[in-house]
Amino acid sequence: MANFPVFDRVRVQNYAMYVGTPSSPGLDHAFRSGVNVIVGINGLGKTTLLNILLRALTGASDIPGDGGLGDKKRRLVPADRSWFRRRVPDDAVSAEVTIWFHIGVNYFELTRSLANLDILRLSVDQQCVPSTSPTEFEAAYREHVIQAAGLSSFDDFVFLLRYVVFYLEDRRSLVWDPAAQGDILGILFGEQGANRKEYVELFNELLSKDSEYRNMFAVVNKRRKEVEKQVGSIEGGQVDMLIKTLEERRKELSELAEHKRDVARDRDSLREQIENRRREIHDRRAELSFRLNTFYESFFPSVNDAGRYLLAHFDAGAGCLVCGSREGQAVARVAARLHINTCPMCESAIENDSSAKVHDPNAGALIEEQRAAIAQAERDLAAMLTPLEDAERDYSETAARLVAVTADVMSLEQQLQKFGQTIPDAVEKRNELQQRLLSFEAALNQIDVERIELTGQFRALASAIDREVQSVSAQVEEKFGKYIQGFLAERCHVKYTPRQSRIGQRTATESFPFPHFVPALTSGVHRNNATVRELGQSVSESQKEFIDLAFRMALLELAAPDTPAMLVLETPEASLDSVFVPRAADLLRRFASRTNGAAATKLIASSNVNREQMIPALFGAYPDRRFYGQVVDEAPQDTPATVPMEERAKHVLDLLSIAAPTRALDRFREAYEEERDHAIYPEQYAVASS
Amino acid sequence: MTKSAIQPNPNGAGMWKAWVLLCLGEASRMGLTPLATSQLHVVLYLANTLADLFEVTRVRGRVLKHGPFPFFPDVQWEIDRLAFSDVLSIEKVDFGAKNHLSAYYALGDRGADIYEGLLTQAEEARRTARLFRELVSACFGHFLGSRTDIGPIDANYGDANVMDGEVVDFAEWKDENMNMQVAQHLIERLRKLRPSVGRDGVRLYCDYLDKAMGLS
Repeated sequence: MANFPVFDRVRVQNYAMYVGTPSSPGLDHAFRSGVNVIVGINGLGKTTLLNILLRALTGASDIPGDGGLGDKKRRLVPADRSWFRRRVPDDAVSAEVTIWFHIGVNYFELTRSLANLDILRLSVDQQCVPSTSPTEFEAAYREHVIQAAGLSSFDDFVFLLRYVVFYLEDRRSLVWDPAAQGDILGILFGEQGANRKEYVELFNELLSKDSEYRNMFAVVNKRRKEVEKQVGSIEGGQVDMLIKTLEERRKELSELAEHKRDVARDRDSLREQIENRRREIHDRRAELSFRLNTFYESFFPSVNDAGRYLLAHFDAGAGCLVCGSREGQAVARVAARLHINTCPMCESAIENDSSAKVHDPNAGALIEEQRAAIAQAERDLAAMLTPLEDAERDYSETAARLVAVTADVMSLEQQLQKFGQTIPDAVEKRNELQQRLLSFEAALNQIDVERIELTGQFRALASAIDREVQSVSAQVEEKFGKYIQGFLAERCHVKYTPRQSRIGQRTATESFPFPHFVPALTSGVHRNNATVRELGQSVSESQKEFIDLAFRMALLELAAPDTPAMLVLETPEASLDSVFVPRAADLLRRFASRTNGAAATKLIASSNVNREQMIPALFGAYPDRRFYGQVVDEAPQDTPATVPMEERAKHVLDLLSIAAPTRALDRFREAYEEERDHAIYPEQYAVASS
Repeated sequence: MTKSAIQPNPNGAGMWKAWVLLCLGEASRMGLTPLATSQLHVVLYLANTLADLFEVTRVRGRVLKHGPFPFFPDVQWEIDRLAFSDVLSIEKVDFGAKNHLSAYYALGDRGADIYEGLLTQAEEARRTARLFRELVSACFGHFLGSRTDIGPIDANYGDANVMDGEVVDFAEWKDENMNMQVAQHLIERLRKLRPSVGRDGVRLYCDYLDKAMGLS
């Protein structure tokens, strides 16, 4: 549970806006338990004073929240240090504010310069905090505040001030800003310390990752478009196509070269075998002819060398050298004639009949063996010719294709070279763009991997906080009901409904549970059933503001159940119609009149002196009870007691007396003062008029 | 004309016949015929390896490495066919050595006419004839009159990386025709002394063979 700051006193010195009185220059006011009203008219510095109170506590730091907290990082941002200086003619050179306040059991006295919000003096529990520089003061102050409030960081303290304690002109909403509500519930009811710190760090880191991813995604998209544009351009497209075709041709070339090598090997092997067979046949025939020559020499002694050469070749199976015939029948015919000792040409008897000399049976057998060997070699040779032809044709075709593809490759290379000359480094540029795209895509993936890792850690913490808030949700709903009762004509309550939401703007990421109470109320068209109104614009401005205030009060009461708390409101009547003033005042008084340990709870509200009657209503001195009865449905229960008339002056910080007078005040002071008194002490005037 | 008659001989038989005829024609003009089978094959082989020097298209860029000199068995059949078609004549046959049957060829009656006709009608034939003229004169003035075993000395055939029974291929890539490389090397060495040495590549290579064979 957290401790909240509660002001005891404020003093503003040397600030031209609050001149004070001759006997008591400047502004010095002690806040009382219960209701405190800062009374003034337009231009007297009500808003400035509330801002002084806020900045005195926060220093020059704030929580970003214009237009809702949403996906803003959960960390302090610098506030405008010169805001107060600019509002006075002397630049607030020596102006300072001192506040005395409690946080839990610790008592602070803090003085800041209104020129730049630096801390000038600080004491905690009556002990001066020594320091040499404003930075050190600020660090020491924050450390003490963190300790006293029981929070894990000063950021959370400022968070509580902006979304729970102070309800200023900017009307930062808690009920209607789901992101802010989730964080406040986490701060108030989640486990404090390391977990909270880690939660905030992870949340901020996930936001950073989301932002990094989107930035990188934009870069990747840009690069991708560049690559597409480059490839899609006439030159890029041509270059790309040329490269693609070239790669295909080179591959084909390599395959053809390999095929050619294989075919050449087969072809050469066949050629070698054929040449060897031919040579073998020739050699065998030569040997056979040599053997046969002895026959012809003896058979035909008068035949010359050429004739015997012819006959020997014929008989050796080489065929007829005269006509070129190699037919087996002719060979057989000649052989048959020789066998019967007749001339193979004319069938005449041979010249020399001494056949015994030449017919050597062994020689005949050898000759037959040779003939058989020659016949086998010729068959082998014939069997190899067709495969050789095929191999040679295949080789020729492959070689021709190789030449054609080589020419293609050269032509493509020349075309590419031409592109290289006309568009410098076209290919390099394309490759470089693609390389760059790849590296950016890798970086993008890396970011996502890191995000996924963080997601797991964050989910565990978010789920734990959800469970913690869930455990107190029924109490929050009940307390809210207590404060809001009688305020609205419609019945209104809040319901714990954890919000599933993503962190960041990407849609394709995981969602997490965030604690969230949804308001529900009946309306003119839904009289009997309360309907969920999650969006601020679905209820009127006045309803919105007071639902928000009731929710803050419920949280304060639950988070600081038996200790004093404080609410600071700026002109609560601003958006109310007159009918709602007593209802709103009741709601606020109910909070300001907490009892027991919380009895010192304070409500500080600024209000204009006008006829809206908020000031008397806050004191419980609403003049017309009959009218009150008409605008509040239920009979008032636990209505806090009216602040006695003699006490009221102490509960008023009267800017009409303290502030530097405006022209209007100078001119109509008396009338304004009468209006003021009329607002603070309505009973006197009621009595007077009656 | 039948279909088979118009199909070109896959082994370049027609070109071989022309080359044989031109070779023997040039040898005949120099009074060097008849040429033995081995001499004819050596000249035909060298002509193929050095054809580029005379801007002549070679007939065959490979030969089986087998025995002491390059030999084209399938071409021998065409030579013999020419001999018994009266294009060439066989002056004598040496049946002497086992499986080294060798005939001696000269230009036949019809051959002389065909030779003249080739030279008259085709520039390629004239270039080829000049190549053979250069080769026949370079070889026969030196080693070929007495020896045909150029195998171990010839840059292509004698390549130690090619084993016996493997094919010597000097046509697939220019830089694998080492006979040409030797010839070019010799040309470059002599260019400073004789700027017009480029046309003497055949003679230079044959001189190299001659000298190297003399040393072996």
